[in-house]
Amino acid sequence: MSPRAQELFSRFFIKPPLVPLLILASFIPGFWSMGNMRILAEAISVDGIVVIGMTIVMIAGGFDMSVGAVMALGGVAAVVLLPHGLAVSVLAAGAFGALAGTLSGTLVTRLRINPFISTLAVMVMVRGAILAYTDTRPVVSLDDMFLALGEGRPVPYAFMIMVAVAITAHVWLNGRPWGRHVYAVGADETAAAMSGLRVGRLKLQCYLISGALAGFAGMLLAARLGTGSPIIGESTPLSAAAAALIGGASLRGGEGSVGGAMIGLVFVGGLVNAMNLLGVASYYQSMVIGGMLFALVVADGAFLRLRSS
Amino acid sequence: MSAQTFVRLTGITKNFGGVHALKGVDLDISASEVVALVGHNGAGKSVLVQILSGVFPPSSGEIRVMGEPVSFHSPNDARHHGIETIYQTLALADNLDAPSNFFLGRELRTRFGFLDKRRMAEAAGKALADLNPSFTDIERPVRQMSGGQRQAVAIARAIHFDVRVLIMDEPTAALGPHETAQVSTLIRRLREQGIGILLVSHDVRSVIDLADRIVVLKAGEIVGTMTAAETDEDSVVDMIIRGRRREPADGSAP
Ligand SMILES: Nc1ncnc2c1ncn2[C@@H]1O[C@H](COP(=O)(O)OP(=O)(O)OP(=O)(O)O)[C@@H](O)[C@H]1O
Ligand SMILES: [Mg+2]
Repeated sequence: MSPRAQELFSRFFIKPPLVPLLILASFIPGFWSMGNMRILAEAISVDGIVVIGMTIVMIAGGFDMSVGAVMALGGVAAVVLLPHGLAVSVLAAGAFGALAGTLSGTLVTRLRINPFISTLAVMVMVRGAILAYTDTRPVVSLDDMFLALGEGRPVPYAFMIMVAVAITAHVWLNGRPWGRHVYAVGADETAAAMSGLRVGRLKLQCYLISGALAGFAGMLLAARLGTGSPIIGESTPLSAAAAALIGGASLRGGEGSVGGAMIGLVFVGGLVNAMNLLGVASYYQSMVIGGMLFALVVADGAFLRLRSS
Repeated sequence: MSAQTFVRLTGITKNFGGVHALKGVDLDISASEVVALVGHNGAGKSVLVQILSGVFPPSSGEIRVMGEPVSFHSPNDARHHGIETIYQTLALADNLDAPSNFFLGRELRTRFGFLDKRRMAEAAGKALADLNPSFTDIERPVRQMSGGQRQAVAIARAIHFDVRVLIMDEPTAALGPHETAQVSTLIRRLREQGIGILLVSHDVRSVIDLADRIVVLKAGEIVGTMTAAETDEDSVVDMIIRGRRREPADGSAP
């Protein structure tokens, strides 16, 4: 096998075992039904948009714990601002997300606080703010246009949007100088700075993008559910990180790709979907995802040790 | 001195918290001149290099380029003034290939602002082949390359762009005898082209033949400046170790 073919094989059969998973899932009645494929597509499209942002931040050597809370923020903001028109509502979801991302990026770059702590702080602040604003109750929308945005047949609009975002992100990361700079910053900040790159600004941009995408994804979720819930997205940071790590990203930065993350996304989404069909209770599902994340982080560290020795 | 002074540093100091890494350094670099900066580990050589290349500003003091006072806010500012640097750490992004590192921060673009990967690979390939004809497999992450190849990437990218003053911080640290000789040849060639070179090393023997002037740095201060032709290894080593003050015979203007 050529190296290229080997890599493709590994991508679909080993890391992650996506094809084996899909074959096994065929034994679950109804897995490949149109109805279930639609559910799967809906589930992964909202998460997928978040995963793309997370991947960009991780390539730049960071992490974004706040994506779930920012999703909730985007959903609530979109629903609350709907009376001002759909365009305002959609833009506001992204803008509020971008604002949260800018805050994270500022903490990381200006105050030089560890990305996990910075974005954890932003996560808690954002979550607190929307819980306070909504009095912990979901906000409901009956706007036809908004609800239609959550539809789309046979392919959900959200799925098409995710694919468009993924292609754009892929092209920007691989085809633009900006993408090279993000990879360079993630691999070695000092070297990047010595090469004349504006490290702080680049990292800030990555957090801003991640926040904007999370807010936007939250808006799409609210459109599908017809409500903006202040409590959604609790486990999103971890499942998004799992998808990115499966896709080749590393907690050390400088590695990862949108294509890989999308494969990771389908793997995690497919696994959750299969567990749902099998009636696995959600707390067991959490244990599975958490265990997988643990294994991924250990593997990431072990791989790094191998590489540096 | 008849040659044009490209760079003049006056009274450069640098403090990191309580550490006084530089305590008032004066240094000139002129056209077609190789200035060797020598000194012990921790003398402040790399700090001086990083100030001159715009990595961080001095705590006090003045930098003049072609007689004009300048302040560098980033390595790009120094590059715009024709100051290129080969850092001791090489400053390569390990995950990127040689062309990407070669053009990092000044990529060739297509009309629409996308990377012109083909032109970048060609130009970098040519520049690297000039330096080392056997260096061909350049489109792989530089982490997979040998120390000498990585050094070649760092050297090639520094001399590819319009350079007036080239700073080399331990440029031969990772090289074998053959490549070290190649770098010496390169330094002589660049000097003939009128480039001013600041050659940093703590290996006196390797610089004494190459340099026009030897400047000794000790604990953040210049303790001596010697004309290379009029001194020998022992005197320089003596100065590095004992840090004797400037000899009257040197007679450089204040
Ligand atoms: N970024 C920094 N922050 C704090 N202190 C620093 C920094 N860079 C250098 N120093 C300190 O400044 C002093 C001079 O260091 P420098 O790297 O310039 O030495 P050097 O002469 O280049 O030594 P070597 O021969 O080992 O390369 C040292 O005490 C070092 O610890
Ligand atoms: Mg040094």
